[in-house]
Amino acid sequence: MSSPLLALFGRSLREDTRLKMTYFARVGLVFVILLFLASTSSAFGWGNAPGLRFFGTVVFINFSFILLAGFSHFASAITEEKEEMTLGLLRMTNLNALSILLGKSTSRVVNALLLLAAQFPFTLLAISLGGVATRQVLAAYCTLGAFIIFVANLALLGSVVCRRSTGAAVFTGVTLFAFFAGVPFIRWVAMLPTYFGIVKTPGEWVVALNLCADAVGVASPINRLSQILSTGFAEGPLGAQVWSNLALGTACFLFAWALFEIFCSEQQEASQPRSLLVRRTSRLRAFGAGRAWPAALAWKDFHFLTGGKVWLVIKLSAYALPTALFYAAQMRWNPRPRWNELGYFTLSIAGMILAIELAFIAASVLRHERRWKTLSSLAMLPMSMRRIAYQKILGCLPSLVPAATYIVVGLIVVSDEFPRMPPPRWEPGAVIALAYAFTQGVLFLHVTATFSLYLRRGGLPAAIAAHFVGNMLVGIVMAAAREESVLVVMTVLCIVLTGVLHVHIGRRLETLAEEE
Amino acid sequence: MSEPIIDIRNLSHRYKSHQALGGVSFTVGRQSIHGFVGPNGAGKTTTLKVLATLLRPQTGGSVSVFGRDIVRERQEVRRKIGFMPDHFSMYRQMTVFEYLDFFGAAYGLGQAERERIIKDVLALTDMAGRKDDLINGLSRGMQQRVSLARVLVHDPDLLLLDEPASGLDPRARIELMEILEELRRLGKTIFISSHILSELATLCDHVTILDRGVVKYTGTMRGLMTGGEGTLSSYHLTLAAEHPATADALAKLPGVQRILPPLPNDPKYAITFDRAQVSLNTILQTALAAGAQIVSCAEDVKQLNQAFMDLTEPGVRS
Repeated sequence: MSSPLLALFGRSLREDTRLKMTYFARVGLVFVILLFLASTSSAFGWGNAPGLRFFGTVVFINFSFILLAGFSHFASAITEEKEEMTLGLLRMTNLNALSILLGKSTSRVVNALLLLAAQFPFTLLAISLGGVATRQVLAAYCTLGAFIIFVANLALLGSVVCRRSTGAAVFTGVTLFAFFAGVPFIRWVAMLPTYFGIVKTPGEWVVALNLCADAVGVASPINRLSQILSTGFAEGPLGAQVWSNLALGTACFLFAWALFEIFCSEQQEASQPRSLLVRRTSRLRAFGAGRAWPAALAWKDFHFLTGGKVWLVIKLSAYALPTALFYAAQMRWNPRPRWNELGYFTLSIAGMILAIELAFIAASVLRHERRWKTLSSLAMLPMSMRRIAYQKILGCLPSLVPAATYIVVGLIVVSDEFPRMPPPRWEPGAVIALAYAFTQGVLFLHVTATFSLYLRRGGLPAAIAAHFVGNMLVGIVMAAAREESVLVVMTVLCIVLTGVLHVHIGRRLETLAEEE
Repeated sequence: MSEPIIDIRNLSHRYKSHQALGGVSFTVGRQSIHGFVGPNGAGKTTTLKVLATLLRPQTGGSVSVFGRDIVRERQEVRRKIGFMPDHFSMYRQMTVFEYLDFFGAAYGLGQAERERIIKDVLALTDMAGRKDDLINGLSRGMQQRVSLARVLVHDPDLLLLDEPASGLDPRARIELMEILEELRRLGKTIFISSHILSELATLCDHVTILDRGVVKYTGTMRGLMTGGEGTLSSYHLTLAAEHPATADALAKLPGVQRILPPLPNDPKYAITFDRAQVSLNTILQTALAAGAQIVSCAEDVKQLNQAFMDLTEPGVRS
């Protein structure tokens, strides 16, 4: 009889071994690597250290995929059981907290490490191409392997603590950001008085903060990978980053184990959150949902998916924060604020937020109905499925108003520069490039919406990955052809693909409503 | 039967390699409560989904609701029907009022009209006191009532209910049946699929039994139970043992199925007649003329579950 401790772990590994998808994923990854090889060759030829360029791209892609997996695949290890309400059933068996954690998460880590191992022989091609040594390849893979273990266990901790996969993904993202960017930023802010001579010697807490930031710098895979990919790298494959990431991963795992009983002991029904919406019986009912609009689905999604008026106010305030900080920093160094810089900053931040919000809306607007099995009720309404989907999208648009407002504000602030700017030259190349970029954005939203109707979770990261690989292919074609006409063809292709997906989403919704 | 509201003719549907429905035909009359029973995998939900316009028949047949073809006139049909699926699909973060208001608006009702209808359906489903409660906090029985209220919010003439009583406790089930009875009185036609046969037997006036995608019986509930429409049933007469001549006289009547002689511990004659061959009047007149002392006389009516077992085949449905 096998040990109950490893029962779930062993079963997960056996299942993964039997799944065709496991092998498709490995072959797919190798295919992507070969794609990079072709891409590097077409973009830079075989001169000027092509091996290093090729390997650098592979490492960068691996790093991005690990982050995406952290937000989706790893972060749902325990929350998927909570959402399906099957964690209680697992706990009724002989499996204890440790065996569940090993079975649900460690098996995923092993698979991710195997994916890295599968591509390793192919990346050795980089050595023969020149510009990179075996030591660098080994060190990079050790760095990525250790980072996988850290991210997976951090996501596992989030998965134990949070009730839903989205929460676990946000926990993982915010922690990683706070760890790798927050600490150095705080150190930078704390050192400002010393830089400007306000304080002659930094205080003890600043020194401690410095030490912390140095330690974070050592643990950062980005720093380590930049060292590895620089010429003259002569260290061993197992640097301080590897050990620190392994230690952090282990600590996260132990922490998740310790907290498992606290956060996973009671089976709670997965419920749709009402967010901050007040009821009509409340004194603050002006911020509530009120009566349904004639476009009822738009009303529903505005209030119950995007948070309604309360979230509009919150976002309007929160999105002003980066601009306010930028303005305060400007005022500290220069009493005469440079409004144009402020305008461009606001414009870029608001544009970025708008893009992120659009991606999240595309990922959730239809998935929400699928998840709560409400599509059959909607399909019974006397309107077509396409109209239902359009009304839902319409309901999500007001949530973009805060970001759009700051874009307009930014434009107004920088508008006094417009007369001084040279008149835009609408050359065909520039117009086509703009059209291509726009169609790319629209296509990405369609890919995300489509994926959200097929995958139970992780539709957005999968769409990012798919779009990325697709663009790599396009990059190869573009680099090979180097002609404007290719861009036109690609733009048309984007429009056709978007149209196909647009129609397909409607059909898929009807099928899902039938299947409910 | 009254004017048919649902008219299904030779309906077939196939899921990949599995034939879910193979030539199903039956009708449902106006203002009736029509039960729809069958074992798991018989094709009940598929039929209901076709009727609800969620599923298009893949391989043939015609289905009309209120005389309108469900494929060609889908939107018109949808306005006249309300479908309650067999799973809880609700926006649980809404309050009861918001939920009903949303569906009312989605059906194109004006605000004042919605207000009035919601008040009525909440009163009918006995949920008026909970209209500002979150659906999430309601019990399963109450959520089922809200689901029924949602189906009624656009005042459909035909209700399609798929297992509405599943998962409910006995009190909630009885209350749900009372609401359905009330809805029939209000002029609704109800087509209900259920596994709780005892409740269907008392509630429904018509029934269709489906097995492996084929209709095994369709007609009145009484017809199914009394055997008037093809199934067998009988009369049971019990006589005191003191008058053996009576038993001899009754034995000469047509349709005698069985005569059980008196036993030491049960000194009675028990005689069974096929009710298709002899009337109860004849039996009683003969017995009384022979000077019998009648202990009991009963019409042997089949229970729905017995009819169900007789008509459906055993074994696991694939």
